[in-house]
Amino acid sequence: MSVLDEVREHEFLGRDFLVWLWCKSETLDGVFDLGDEGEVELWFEGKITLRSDGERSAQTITCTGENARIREARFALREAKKVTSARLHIKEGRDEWSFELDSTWMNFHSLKLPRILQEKGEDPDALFYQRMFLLEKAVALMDALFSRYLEARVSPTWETEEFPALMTWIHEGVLP
Amino acid sequence: MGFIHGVATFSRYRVDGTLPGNYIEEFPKRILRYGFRNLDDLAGEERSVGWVRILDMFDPAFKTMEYFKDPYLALSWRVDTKKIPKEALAQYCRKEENELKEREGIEYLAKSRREEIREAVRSRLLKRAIPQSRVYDMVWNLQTNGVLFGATSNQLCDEFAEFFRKTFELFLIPVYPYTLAQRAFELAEKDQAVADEVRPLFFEEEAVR
Repeated sequence: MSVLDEVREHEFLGRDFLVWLWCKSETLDGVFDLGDEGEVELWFEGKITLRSDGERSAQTITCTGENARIREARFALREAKKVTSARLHIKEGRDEWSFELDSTWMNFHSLKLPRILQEKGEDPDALFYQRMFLLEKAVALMDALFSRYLEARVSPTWETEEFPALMTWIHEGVLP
Repeated sequence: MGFIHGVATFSRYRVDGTLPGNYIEEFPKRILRYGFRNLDDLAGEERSVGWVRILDMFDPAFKTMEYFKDPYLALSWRVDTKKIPKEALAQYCRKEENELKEREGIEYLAKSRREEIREAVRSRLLKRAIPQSRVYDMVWNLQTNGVLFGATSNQLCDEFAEFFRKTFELFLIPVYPYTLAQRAFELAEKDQAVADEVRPLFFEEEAVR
């Protein structure tokens, strides 16, 4: 099987993760305990793209901004629409990252890093190292969140607690 | 825009295999060999790709080994393309063909002669065309074997992975949700195959899970 076929066969992993993350971010006050990676706050910044696979063509819906549109996006999940990307915001201590994550590859798009204060005439390598630290930190935080999702997904309580709670959120916007 | 300035868009890879023991001596030779070459130096070529300094896309000379930024190897991949507008090529070819037909007093030109004219015109116009330059940052963490590449288009990423393989003789494995899941289960001391047990979720009202 080619890499592209394998990516397509398992693309549900990324889109289901984004739905779980969306639910948790709205119902846990956006706070996630990531163990070694510390505690982070995460919220959806108001741009969510959903896609439905029709028989003839795919329809894409992009919801931006207001709460009503986001609620509409959540309802669209009930109509078999799949999340294909979302704009996320992560805060860890004083550092904040903002980016769009796609569900197929989980690639980062337009990642805005925390501001770096640079002194005039500073060694350009210093900027490189600071930027790389922050880039890799963003990747590590998303990987840790994905691991949290997988942990929940294969836990014995997924069918009895986690999934019913996710369905309640999709339908009612709150946890049971 | 990129890893050093502005916002970053990137895809992720893992390097398959181990770093050669003599990489400090070996990689500079390979980077130089696959360094970017200006299209002006490559007669008749429409496209040129190669490594440049991450901090200066106009410097393919690599006078120092500053791309080794322990534990990273940081380079930019430059892609220059010259394009001749289709209509311009057709217009110049038509002119040449008409002149030739008039000179030789013939009504039609053989296909092979038309192709010769087309190639000569294309080559002449290429010399006049200004290339469009794009640079994509690449940072390889030599400790973790992770690579970040500053683009996400499938076609470009495939070409980059092949160029990386030619340069370093190491394969890049793309990172995507399934490989991330395998790795996550491995780190959690579970069998990687658990990733295959995760099935898609259905949220429709009448869904059967």
